[in-house]
This record gives sequence, structure tokens and C-alpha cells, in this order.
Amino acid sequence: MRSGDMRSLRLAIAGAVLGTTLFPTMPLLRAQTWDLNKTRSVAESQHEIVMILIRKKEFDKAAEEANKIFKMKWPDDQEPVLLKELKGLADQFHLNQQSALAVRLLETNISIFKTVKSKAAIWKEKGYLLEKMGQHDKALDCFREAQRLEKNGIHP
Amino acid sequence: MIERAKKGDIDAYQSIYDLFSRKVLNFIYRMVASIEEAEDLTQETFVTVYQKLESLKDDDKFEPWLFRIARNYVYQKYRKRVPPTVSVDSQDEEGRSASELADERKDPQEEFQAEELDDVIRAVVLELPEKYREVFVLSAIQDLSYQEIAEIVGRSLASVKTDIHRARLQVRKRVKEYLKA
Amino acid sequence: MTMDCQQCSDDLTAYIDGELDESAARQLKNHLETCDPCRAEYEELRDSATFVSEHAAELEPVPEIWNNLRSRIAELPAPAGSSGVSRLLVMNRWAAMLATVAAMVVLALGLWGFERYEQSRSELESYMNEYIQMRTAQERQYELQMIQERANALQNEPGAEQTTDNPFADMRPVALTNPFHVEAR
Repeated sequence: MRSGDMRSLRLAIAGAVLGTTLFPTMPLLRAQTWDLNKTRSVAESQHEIVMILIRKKEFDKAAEEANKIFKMKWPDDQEPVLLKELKGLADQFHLNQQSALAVRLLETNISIFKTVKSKAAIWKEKGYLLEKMGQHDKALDCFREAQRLEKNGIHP
Repeated sequence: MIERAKKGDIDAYQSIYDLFSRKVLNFIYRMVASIEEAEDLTQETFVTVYQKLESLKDDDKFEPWLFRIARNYVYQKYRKRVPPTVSVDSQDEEGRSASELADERKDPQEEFQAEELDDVIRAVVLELPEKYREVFVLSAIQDLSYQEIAEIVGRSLASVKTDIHRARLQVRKRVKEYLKA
Repeated sequence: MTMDCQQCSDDLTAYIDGELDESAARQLKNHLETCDPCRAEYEELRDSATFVSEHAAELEPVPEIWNNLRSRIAELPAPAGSSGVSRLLVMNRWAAMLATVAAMVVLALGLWGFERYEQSRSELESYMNEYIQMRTAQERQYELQMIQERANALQNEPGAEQTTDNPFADMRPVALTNPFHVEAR
């Protein structure tokens, strides 16, 4: 196993331990004032878990774990990081011929994003994936929505 | 990727080239026994592929179709010149052999041995009649399935299976003789 | 049904290459277990096949091949159907018929409405194509890195490709850099 993989594995194990204690208490996290550092630490580990699952080709499980990152309580100023993570993870699924899962990941998690810029970026990425899947008309719809958002800055 | 290349996307076409050029180059090289000629014919093959890509109806059949084009170029060359004599010293214009070009990181001892062994294989393959040589190269060296090979050479699966077997029997016999000598 | 030695001999290469169906492969395997001459022939053929695949050197395409190819391609006319609009007029008869009917309906609605529709769709297509081109270039970069790293791995570590099941070891995708890790530093 390469050293990078060892590091990822160690992080994943740490995350799994932290995660199994934290996730059952998620309702409490939402209700309580969040601790950003702790949240980021859990997210970091969760990211490694997702990457390991993708590497093992357990894509459905990877998608399930990926969604957990975006269900955590995040302050608004973390949106750029989350956008980067969402697009990055979707790209991972896409590069592994799991474009349908990538689209679902984007669809499931777009609602947590507040800014027009983030939403438009996600619509464009979804449109790109649908175009790659041969669904041209649906792809156009996504780009139309992104274009509308960027022109008007309004979300219905 | 193929769909994008059909629409004139050069980047997509380069991706196709990157994925298949090594296989095509080595198939042609095993058939014509000249590195320079193999490089020229590889280039010709990919120019033709670019020009005719739109005519490919089923993208899943791209690889056999590609090899058919390469094969056609090989046989055009054969009609124009004397068949190659068996030479264990085939080198490019800079005087390097295939095994040197293939791997330049081996130590001198390993490189010499690899070169010798590759020379044996090259000589043995070149001794095969063309009909056997192409199916041998495609199956034993290029690792294509019998079905794909049958599509490339335009013969039945049963005929290809028989020819591959006969080619391998001949190669086995000649490899043994060379290594004993 | 048992197999005779002639049939076994004829099928040996296909058996080694994994090209026999399950039933024939099983019959042959059973025959090899009980027939010494056939087993000896099988081992010789198998060893000879291994020898060839292990020692046949492979050429690497030199950059000049692609460079010359690219120059020649640049001089060729662009393939038909390379624009977004002409894609709508492909050889599919039904699509062509539907396009004709749609055009007639749009004409019936009025010329200025048709012009407005075409203009906004054209803008949308450009907007879409711009993003797709950018992402396509990114994907191509990932593919090239993957090919290069696999080539390096094969040269440095014989058999390395077989020992790793990790497609991301060969890639440098965006999400490999853990955004939560980087920003926390």
C-alpha cells in the first residue's frame, strides 16, 4: 500500500471513530451551537472515507457517505469550500463512470447553498454531466436555469 | 470521446490517439519489422481514422475498425516491396533496437538480455507466413479477443482459432530451437 | 462426454487464451488431468505464450508521430456535423422529419417569434458549449495524467498495474485535495 493510501486509511479510521460518535448525535449538533473546527475535522475524515469507498468501487455507499458531509451544520461563509467539495466529489463519480450518481449528488445537496453564484455553478455542472450522459435537452434546461440565475440573481 | 472526435474535437481525437497509438504501432511493427516504417504507417492510419471516423456507426467497434485500417496499410506496403528478411538487428535511424526504445531504464545487463530475447521473438514472428503472423500478433502480443481478431482480418471465428493455434505451434517450435542454439 | 487427444490438441491454444466456452474448457481440463502427453503439450504451449508476452518489447510512440499527424489533420476539412446547429440535421430520418414539422409550426407562429427563439437558443448553446469546452479540457488533462502515470508505473514497477486497484492513484482530480484539510491549515 502506498504512503498516501496509508495516510488516507488512518484518517478514515479516525473519522469513522469520530463519526460513529458524532453522527448519532447529529440532531443535537443542529440544535446546539456548532463548533466549526470539529465540523471541519469530521468533514475532512468523511471526505477520506468517501474516497476510499470510491477506490473500492462501492459507489452507492460512497454517495451515501458523501451526502453526510452536506447534511452537517455549516455557517454561510463555508459555502465556497462546500461547493468545491460537492463539485469535486461529483467529478470523482463521473470519472468512475457513475455519472448518474454524480447528478443525484448535485441534486440532493444544491438546497444547502444560498448564493446565486453557488447555485448557478451546480446547475452548470449538472448540465455538463447530463450532456455527457447524452441527455441534451435536460442539459440545456440546466444551463438555462444557470443562465437565468446569473442574469437575474433571483431564485424562484 | 469518439462522439466528440466525430464532431471535430481535436482534443478528443488526441485522447483516442493516446489510448490506441501504442497498440497500433506495435502491431504494425511486428508485421513490417521496421521501426521507421511502423511509425510512418501509424501516422497514416490515424490520419485515415480521423477522415473516416464519421462513417463508424457503432462506437463499440472502434478498436477492430482501427486495426482493420492499420492492417490495410500494412498490406499495401507488402504489395509494394519485397517481404522482409529475418533480421535480428532491426534498428531505427539512430541505431536503437525495439527493446532499447521500449525501456531505457534497465541496467546494461538486463537490457542486453531483454534485447536478445526480443530479437528471438522478432525473428520467430517474422518467419511466420503473413496470414499466421497477423493473428499471432493480435492474439499473443496485442491481447485482442478471437472475435475482435476475426472482425479485423475478415475471417470466420473458427478459421481464426485454427490459424492462431497453428501460429502458436510454429512459434513454440522455433522459440525452443533458438533458445537451444 | 470425454475428449480425444486430437480435439484436445486443437483446442489447447483457445483454452490458454480463455476463448473456450465453459463446457469445452471443463472437458479439456478433465482430459489434461488424465493424459500426460496432452498435459506436456499444454505446458509447452503455455510456457511459450508466457515467454512471448513477457519478453516481446513494445515500442513507445514518439512525439513526432502525433505532431506530424496534428499538422496534417489541421489541413483537412472539418468533419461534417462539427457545429451544434448541424448536429440537429443528422442522417436520422425521423429527426429530420420532426425538425421540418417544428420549423413549419414556428413559421406559422410568426417570423419575429421564430427569430427571437433562435437567438436565445443560440445564446444558450454558446453559454453551454463554453462551459463544456472548459470541463472537457479538464477531463482531458486528467486522462493524460492517468496515461502518463500508468506508463511510469509499468516502467518502474513491473506488475504494479496488477497490484493496485486504485484508479485515483493515477489521477490528480480536484477532490483528491481534501478542501477541508487544506483550508484548516
